[in-house]
Amino acid sequence: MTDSSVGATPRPPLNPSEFHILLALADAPRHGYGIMQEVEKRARGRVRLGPGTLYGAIKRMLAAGLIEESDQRPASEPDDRRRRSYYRLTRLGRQVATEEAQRLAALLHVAEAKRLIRTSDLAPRGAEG
Amino acid sequence: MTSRSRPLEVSARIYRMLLWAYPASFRRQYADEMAHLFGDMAEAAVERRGSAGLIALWLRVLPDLGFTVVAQQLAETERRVAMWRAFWGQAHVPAALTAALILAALATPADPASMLMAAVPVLGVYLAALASKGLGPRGRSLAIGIGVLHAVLWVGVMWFPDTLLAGVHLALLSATDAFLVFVGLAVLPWVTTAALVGTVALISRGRGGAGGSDGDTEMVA
Repeated sequence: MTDSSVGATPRPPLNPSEFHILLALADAPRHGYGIMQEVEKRARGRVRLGPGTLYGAIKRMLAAGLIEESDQRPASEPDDRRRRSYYRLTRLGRQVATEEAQRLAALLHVAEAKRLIRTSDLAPRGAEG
Repeated sequence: MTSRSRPLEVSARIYRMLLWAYPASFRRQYADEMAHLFGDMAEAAVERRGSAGLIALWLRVLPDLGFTVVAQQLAETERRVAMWRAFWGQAHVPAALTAALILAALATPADPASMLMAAVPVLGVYLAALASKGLGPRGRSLAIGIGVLHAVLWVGVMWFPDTLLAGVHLALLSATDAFLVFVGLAVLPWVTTAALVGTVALISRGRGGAGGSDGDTEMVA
């Protein structure tokens, strides 16, 4: 497998709300409210996206090709929710999310090496399901 | 279909009205979804904490709305400015020519010859402004001022009384062929305009230095 990022222009770091949205869409297509709920759940309520922030980010990310509208609708959703726009990651979006996660992981290692944090402190937070 | 309480209905209606503050393009794309989203959030807030939940939701949503309206309006303004720049980048010379013709038509007696003769010095103001890019603000203002003066002089000439021009005309006619006089008079505005713009361009290039100037560099006296 080749690294498609080799030789490419380095991307600026994602802004936090965009990264949270990419993470929320990493496992399933979701509509706006679904994204918001997933972000709040994963961040344990510490990140709360307002409707304007969420759709502003969605607009930018659609334009950047990081996400796209999805035709897939979970059958379990009520009809009115199935009519809403669902969004999913594009290949580029997944790659950008992976690169951002790797960038943050590298920073985490630096912080750990400088004894600013211990990974054991982070384990309980990361272990939520 | 779920029946909504009155506060929820009112909140949803107010939120939908507030969405009008967003630019039209953003509203067309996302207003319905944002209204749905707000409805979901409001229902969940009321379910959890009743009226207090709804108030808390408004306190959370209003700053978000304020900030993102400003951000979207700015983004829309930037998009429009870029669009106009792209358009005028292509069309500014024909547009300036058209404007010069219209100005000349308005400023001269109603005959085509006067209009065409005056249009060249009027266009010269625009060309002088373009040519003076390397001069800095003061030099540029001076070049434009001279261009305007030059145009006003030529437009003024078109308004000279016929009796005053008749003497010059007769003197020239007695000296040479009528056709040559006409061509000479028609070409004169071109010559003076070209001389003005050429001089400004030469001075501007000289001031810009050997490396070339990207314009608007203030020359400190």
